[in-house]
Amino acid sequence: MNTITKISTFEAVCFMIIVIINRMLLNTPKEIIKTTATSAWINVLVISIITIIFILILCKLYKNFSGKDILDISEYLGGNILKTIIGIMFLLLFLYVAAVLLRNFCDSLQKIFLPNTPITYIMLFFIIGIVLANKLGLSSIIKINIIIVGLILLSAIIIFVAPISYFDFSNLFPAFGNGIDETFFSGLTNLFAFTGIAYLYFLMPLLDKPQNFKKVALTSTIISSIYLFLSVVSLIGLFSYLTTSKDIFSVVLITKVINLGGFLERIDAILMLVWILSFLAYLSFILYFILYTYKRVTNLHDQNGAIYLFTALIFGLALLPQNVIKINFLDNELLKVLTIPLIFIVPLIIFILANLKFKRKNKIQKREVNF
Amino acid sequence: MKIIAIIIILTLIPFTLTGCQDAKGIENLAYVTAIGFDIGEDNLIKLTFQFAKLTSSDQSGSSQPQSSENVTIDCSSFDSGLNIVNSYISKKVNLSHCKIIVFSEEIATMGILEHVNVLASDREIRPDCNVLISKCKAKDFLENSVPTLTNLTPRYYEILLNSKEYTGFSENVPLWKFFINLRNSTEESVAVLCGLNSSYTGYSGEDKNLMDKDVSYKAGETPLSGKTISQNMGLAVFSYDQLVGEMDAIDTVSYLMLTNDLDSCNISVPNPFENNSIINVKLELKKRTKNNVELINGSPFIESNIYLNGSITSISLNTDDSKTETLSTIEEYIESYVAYNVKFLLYKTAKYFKSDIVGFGKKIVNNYLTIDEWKSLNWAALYKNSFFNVNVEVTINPSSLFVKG
Repeated sequence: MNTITKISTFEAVCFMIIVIINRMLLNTPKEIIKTTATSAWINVLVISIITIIFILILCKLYKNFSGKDILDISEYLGGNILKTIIGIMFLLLFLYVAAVLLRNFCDSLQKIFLPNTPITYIMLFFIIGIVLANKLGLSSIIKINIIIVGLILLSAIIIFVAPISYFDFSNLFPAFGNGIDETFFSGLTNLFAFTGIAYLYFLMPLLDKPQNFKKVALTSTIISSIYLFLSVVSLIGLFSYLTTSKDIFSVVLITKVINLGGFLERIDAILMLVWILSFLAYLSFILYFILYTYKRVTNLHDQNGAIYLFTALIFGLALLPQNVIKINFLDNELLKVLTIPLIFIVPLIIFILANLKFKRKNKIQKREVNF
Repeated sequence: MKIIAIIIILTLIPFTLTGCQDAKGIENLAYVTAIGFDIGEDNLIKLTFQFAKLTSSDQSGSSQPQSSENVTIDCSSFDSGLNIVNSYISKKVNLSHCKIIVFSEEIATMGILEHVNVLASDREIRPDCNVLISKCKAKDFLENSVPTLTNLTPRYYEILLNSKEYTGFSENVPLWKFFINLRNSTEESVAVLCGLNSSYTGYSGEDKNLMDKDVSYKAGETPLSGKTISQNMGLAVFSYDQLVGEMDAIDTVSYLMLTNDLDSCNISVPNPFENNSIINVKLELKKRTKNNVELINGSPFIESNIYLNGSITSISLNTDDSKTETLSTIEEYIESYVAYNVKFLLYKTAKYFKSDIVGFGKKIVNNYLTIDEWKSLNWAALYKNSFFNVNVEVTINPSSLFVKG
């Protein structure tokens, strides 16, 4: 735990896929459909293209800082103070996301499959799981994650292909849904679907081949964009925008209509097991990055002691929301407002300024050499 | 260290067993196989729950629902009815194996969105559970739905509803599809029409010829002899959430042709070469039906092109269907017969039902950019002014099992 584990390009792609897809698994498709109605699929194309362009810009800006994460770059730009500010900002964001997602996932799980089980009991299973996973270290989580990614992509194929005979593509029209503004402009807040890219800012020092960062970032974003697009198209194609926007766990709706012949019915329970595993892996990653950020900000050598502290904090924070409306507000409304400035704008400004500083320093150095 | 870890693990293991504390096995649950909705006598609705009775099989030791038991309650809503039944029976009611939901004609005429909304929101009820409209009271239908040729009630409902695959006289209408179409502006809902047949029931309608009679029955009107049995035949037509009409067997076949849901069907047509003789043909879709919608002077002009493949299953010995000319005459005859029936159904949906059950609205919704633009067209009101053109192309294969002498 004290030395940084290096991960391969493939492992990094799997990590990013699980991080972004888990975000989408909950109610992201539903939230997108709620705001944009029948034009949700166009909106997803737009936000996916924007995210891919953003990733390309990010890779370009990363060229001068190979092997460094956002905290190193902040330190380079504004010293220890900026590093601490950015570190705390991401630490709080990760804590917030972990707590809200844990509560949201467990709440949905309780409503659909475990109505008689107390929510704290369900949450404790995840909490114990992520503590043990982090005790074992990033390497173990990453390796288990490869198997889970395989399962989650297989489940995605089943979800999107099995009910294709029920798809009604006319449900995707009128193409601009609630209007051009909602589709292209106010609908841009749906970029929150890609909050997972926040982990890209910390990925560089973990890569055994930092030069493959672009490959990791692009591959994972494209796969996740396809997944989001298919989720939205399947949901509207099957249920129309009127029905989809009401359900809590929208992708489960699709699984409930899947019957593979007369011999394999109710496969939603199997798929749910896969999602639980993938959520456990995702939560373990978040805890890892919380600990990683904490260690970097406080210059600690051993982050093991903080595992219990932050897990208890996640558990406590997750218990705070009183009902589904509050959870949905925190998971969607508030996160939408936070995502664009914290994940897209602030890091971009830091990268641009750091690059300007780097170029200015280079120029001065060149001039000094010439003299 | 290892010993400490083992002690910790052994201490934790018993805690996992607490999960069984409130666990409910099948012996604690009462599985509902069907739910019936009627107009209440003492209250708003009369709910009927059909429970599967579990009996242990001697050989395997497994529990299988062998017969059923009905419980009926007058209540104000579905949930309150469920609560009352839960307090009345010894087990907890579980809806996860419910196969059919039956509404009586009476209650369906008044509007059922509220009830369907409750059912669609229920976490236990599967979205693929079928929706039926009963010509008699839902309670009577469920009480008389005794499995025939099988022992299992849920399996009986599955088989009953799957008959559409080889008859074309009905359709599977899952709850999720029914619920969506109740609120859809491009397509209205239909539900399976069901009823009870006994030796006392029988069609007493118009004076039709023999082959027309075979396909003009609806559920509960078929002159079947034998004990009282439930039957699904035809479809119930909805406008928004209210029942507005019924379709008989041939209407249903036409509807399935238009919606591309026809697997196969058998129809009888008069033999054009011989008086008082019929030809039986098995029909299936050759390729997908093409429906086009255009707005002409503010009225929808709808054109349907149906492509069918057929095979003659029985024909008079005096008619030689191996001759090309004979076969093309039969093809033309079937084409005009199908076209007439489809056109009849389409005008019936527009002028009489005023309900776009085929979903022609879907064909023009893509001409509109936003939902507001589409809503301002008011397709539901416009559909009743529609005029139709139906083209049918039939390819018939002769009956070739025996070579004629």
